[in-house]
Amino acid sequence: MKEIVNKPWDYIFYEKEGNYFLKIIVGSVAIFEVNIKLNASELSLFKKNGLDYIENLAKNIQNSPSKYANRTIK
Amino acid sequence: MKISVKCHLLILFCFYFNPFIQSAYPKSAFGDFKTKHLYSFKSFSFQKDSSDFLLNAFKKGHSKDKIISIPKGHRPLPSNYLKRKYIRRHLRIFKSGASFLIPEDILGKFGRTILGRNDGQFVMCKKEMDDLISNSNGEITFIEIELGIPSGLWNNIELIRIDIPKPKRLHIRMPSGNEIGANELWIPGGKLPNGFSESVIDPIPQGQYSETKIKKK
Repeated sequence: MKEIVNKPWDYIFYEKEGNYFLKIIVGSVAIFEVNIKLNASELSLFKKNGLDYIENLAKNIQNSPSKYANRTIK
Repeated sequence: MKISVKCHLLILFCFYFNPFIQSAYPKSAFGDFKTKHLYSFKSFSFQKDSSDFLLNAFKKGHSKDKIISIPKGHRPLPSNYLKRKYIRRHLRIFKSGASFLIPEDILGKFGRTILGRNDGQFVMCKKEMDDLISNSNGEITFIEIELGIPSGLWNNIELIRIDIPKPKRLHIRMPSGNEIGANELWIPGGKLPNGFSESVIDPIPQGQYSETKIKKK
């Protein structure tokens, strides 16, 4: 596993065996983690826009974690 | 004697829950009564409609829906739209302490030297957390439902309760909804959708908090 970005209490963006993952800290009085594998369209947007895209994706997930909860991998 | 007590309780019940009588008195009095007393009577029986908890919270011309409609990052300071008295009362309930829940592996990942996000950590009041944990009877699913956690996300993890005995030292304040931790469920007025009270504090340095493992069934 290779960490690309590690923002404490925010998110960790990392690469593992050629796949990209985003681990985001979400929640308010109850904190939890959403860990997703970037899908094809997210991957292409990352390649096009770089880490700015990841920053925005992390914000989207923090704002609407329920939309991404079913993609969480353990 | 017993009959007299029953009659007294019946009269009290009719008085407080009669809409005609309520309309003749300031709403805040009944809002406070419901919040304080129903809460303590039943210990854990929150009304699901958060608007009941926000009675008389807003200054003239402001409302919950108006604030929610403002995009995150652009929301005004709570003091701009909430009454000063409401804010003062809200923060007073945190005098006995503040708490939040976190999986142990996240604590391990980011360390225990300082907890929480730079822009503020959301906390509940200690009393409500005590009630929640006690009423869960060790059922993590119960806590997940009450706090809006996607179902099953806390399965097979060690859950830690963080208690901050003196949140005032950490600049306790009403959430603005611009915090990183504020999500689509956030509502103005320092309430969770089911009525729990929430506030925000600065990151918590070691020595100003305690950790307790949540016992599972």
